[in-house]
Amino acid sequence: MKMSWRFLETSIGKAALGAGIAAVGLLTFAAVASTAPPYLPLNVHVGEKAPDFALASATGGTVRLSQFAGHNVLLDFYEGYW
Amino acid sequence: MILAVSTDPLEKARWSQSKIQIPFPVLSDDKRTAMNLYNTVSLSTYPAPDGGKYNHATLILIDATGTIRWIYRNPDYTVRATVTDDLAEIRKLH
Repeated sequence: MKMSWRFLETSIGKAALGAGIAAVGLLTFAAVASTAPPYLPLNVHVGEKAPDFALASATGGTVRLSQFAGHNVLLDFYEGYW
Repeated sequence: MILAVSTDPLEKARWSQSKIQIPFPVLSDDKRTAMNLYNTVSLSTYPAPDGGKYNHATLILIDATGTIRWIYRNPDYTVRATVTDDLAEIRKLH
């Protein structure tokens, strides 16, 4: 055990210790990054009221979310092609 | 009712709707109004044709009282839930 501590006082030992700490830091960062969702959190959550908005419709006029009150609505934010 | 929202300009939304005869409203959010309201903005660095950000594909099921009952997001910002999943969640409201 005494020999191990002496080893850490040498230049090779200090380098090895630094590399070890860096490796632990990198592994910790990788673990956190891999579990983070690949998207930003929404401003809305299940159980909350859906915020109202009005947008131009492809068939003409403006469509407002609140005009469908009393009906179930599937709001589909998409990009690209169907 | 389904409301489709994308950042496409109105002309592109019209093209999409007419191309495959989508039977529900296709809405143009080219000013990112709904995107910013719900924060559906994608982390993708790939720019939309107008230079702005794309949506991260997001499905939000709202019941008759206006309450959000289900949200679906796939790690891939272009992928939506399957129709089977959609219908299963909608049936839970009845």
